[in-house]
Amino acid sequence: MSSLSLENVGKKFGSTPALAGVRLEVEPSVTGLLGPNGAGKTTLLRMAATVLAPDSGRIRILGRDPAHPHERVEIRRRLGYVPQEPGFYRNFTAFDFVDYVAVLKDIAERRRRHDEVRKVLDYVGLRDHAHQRIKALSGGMRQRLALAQALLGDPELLILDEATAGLDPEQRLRFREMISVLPQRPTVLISTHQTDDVSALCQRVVVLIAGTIRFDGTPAELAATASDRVWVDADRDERAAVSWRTSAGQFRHIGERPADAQSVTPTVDDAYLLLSGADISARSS
Amino acid sequence: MTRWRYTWRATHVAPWLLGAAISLLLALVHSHGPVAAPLQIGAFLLGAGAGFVTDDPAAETLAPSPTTLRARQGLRVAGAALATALAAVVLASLARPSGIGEAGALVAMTAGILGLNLGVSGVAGRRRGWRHGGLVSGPAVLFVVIASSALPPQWRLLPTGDIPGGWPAICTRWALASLLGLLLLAYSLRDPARSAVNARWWRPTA
Amino acid sequence: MRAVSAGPGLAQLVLLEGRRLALHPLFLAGVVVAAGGCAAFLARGWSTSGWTVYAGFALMAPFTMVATNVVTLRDHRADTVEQHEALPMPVSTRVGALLTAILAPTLLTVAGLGAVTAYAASRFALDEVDLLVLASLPLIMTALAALGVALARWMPSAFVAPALAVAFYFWTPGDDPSAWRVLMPLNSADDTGAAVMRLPYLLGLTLLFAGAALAQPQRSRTSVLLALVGAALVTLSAAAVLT
Ligand SMILES: Nc1ncnc2c1ncn2[C@@H]1O[C@H](COP(=O)(O)OP(=O)(O)O)[C@@H](O)[C@H]1O
Ligand SMILES: [Mg+2]
Repeated sequence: MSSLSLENVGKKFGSTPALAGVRLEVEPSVTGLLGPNGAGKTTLLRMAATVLAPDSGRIRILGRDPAHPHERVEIRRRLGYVPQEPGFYRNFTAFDFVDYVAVLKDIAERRRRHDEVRKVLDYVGLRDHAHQRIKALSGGMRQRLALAQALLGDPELLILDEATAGLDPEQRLRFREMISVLPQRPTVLISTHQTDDVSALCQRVVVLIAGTIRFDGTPAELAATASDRVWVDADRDERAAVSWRTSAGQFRHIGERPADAQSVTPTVDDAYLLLSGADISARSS
Repeated sequence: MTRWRYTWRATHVAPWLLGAAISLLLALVHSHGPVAAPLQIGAFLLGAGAGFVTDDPAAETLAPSPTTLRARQGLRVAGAALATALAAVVLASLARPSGIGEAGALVAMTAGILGLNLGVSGVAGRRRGWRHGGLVSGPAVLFVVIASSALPPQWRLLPTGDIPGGWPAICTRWALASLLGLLLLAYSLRDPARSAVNARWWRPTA
Repeated sequence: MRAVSAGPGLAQLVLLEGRRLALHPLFLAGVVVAAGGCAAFLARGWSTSGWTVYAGFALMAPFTMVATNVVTLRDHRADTVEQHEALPMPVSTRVGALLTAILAPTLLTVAGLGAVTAYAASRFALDEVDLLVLASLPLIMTALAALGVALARWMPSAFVAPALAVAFYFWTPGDDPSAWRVLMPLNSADDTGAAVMRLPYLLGLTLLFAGAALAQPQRSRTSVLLALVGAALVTLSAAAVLT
């Protein structure tokens, strides 16, 4: 059974369509949602987190209908969500904040709740900062605090909206580790515009561009869509859709490869750029 | 109990407390002139202060919690309403109004302004991610009350001179305003996952 | 160096903030109230309802005060205080731009008020006091608008300005004829002497509040000078009214 299923889902804000006719089935695994800014990633994740209702289409989350009050509560008991811009009560300590979320998640019994709160704070490495006020925490610590509250109650579905934005390289690695070794192995849906997160972490990647799904498959399959369309040359080739000078000093080109150019093995990055290349060239012209 | 304690700490109560303190001070120092003045100011200050209780910086993080928006905000609003009712009784007893009619009208006015503030704050908060409801509600309600002076006398919220219908008419007017505000509030606290398309009370059997 | 580069930038900023203030919903709410006052006068004539013109325009001032307050608190709301403190343009310049931008809603008010006054003067006999009282209206607006900025600088809470607006609204009707009531910003004077003195009084308040707004977080020569001139004007004209 799929953890999340979207059937023909559409959403408009005013006259701008944020999502149009999205069909998606997410199975238990780590799925990355890749797309440029404004692609509709947040809109999709908010729907998956029961925070936003679609204008059209149907959503089922963990086999239940979020439009139905009782089923919605059942979904929410099994759901963890880190919003793109998590807000906090700045005068709370980290422990109190997570404890409050635990109270709202109906973990009533005090001893068990406090054990659970300590467990998630330990897991994200905030044990030593648990009794510091949130306003005194650094940005990376707040990001981890947001993850900690989402992990309360061992969710079956974990929704992370750009949770790696603003983390330094070491924290990013720690974060990948935390997500990939979660003991309960929940379904994770994570949005990002960073392709290295996807190749490092996700078993499956969905590329969302301008509110529609443009690719759905494994990272390797995504990279393969660019095979034969990436080449390296000492000089810049005007025929390429995208090209940039690499650290080796050569130009890496993506696009329709000229017959005389030697193709190289594509990466997820190349394939993603190729997919969104239409957008890029449209914008620059 | 824990829930009450955390909710209290998470709620932006400073404006309400400031409003209550100023109202109390006014009622204590006001020795001459119409009794209504400090109570009217008090009603506005308490109401505008209560508008801030719906502000919630963590709203998006808490949105998918099994404790619904209505339950989370309901607790804050109930607290504000209770505190405002207490404050109104204290203010009314300090100001010694002319009779039960005037006292009732002033209490009704407090309820009306409170209701309108909560309603506007709820609607504005929902539209702006529960960030600036209080910012909008106080000035908006002041505007509505002032603008109502342009209406025929039987509809003015702050009538001057002879009031057609006397105190009961004023009570009714403010009670209606309060009701309108509370309806707006209830509407703004619908669950965000409900929509016209998806919300169904009946479900096809599988 | 800074003065040179701040010039065009400052002008741009004044225009930007001026437009923001003139289109602010709270200023527009004030416009609606003023229009209501004018409508009452047009329907019933000057002798019975001339005061509604005054009341309507006077009530624009507290609304504009809350508007300038809200606009000044913007950084605070968006948590960008530090971000803006890191900009090359000093905070005082940005506050100065906002204070200058108060001219935008004020000039719009002067235009509307001028039209209504011209019409009233052509149809009815307005006396000296009437004209002086009408002339004080734009100054009420500048004084309270500057107060809105100062409050936001010194007390960054969205509650203070609306609370003060309520207090002004209820304290103003003067059934108690003691002389100091004329000093309440929204009130009007009954005799020529007081009406004349209210003009420098309100101007003084404007300068005083502007100086106060500029003095946070750091006093500068301009802010002290503005505040001192303002305080002197306020003291002298208040003394003249009260004696
Ligand atoms: N609450 C909202 N109100 C108006 N427009 C919105 C809102 N949320 C998103 N949008 C619009 O919907 C589109 C998709 O936004 P979003 O889902 O945030 O994209 P992403 O997360 O991929 O950057 C954008 O054009 C954005 O401007
Ligand atoms: Mg986003």
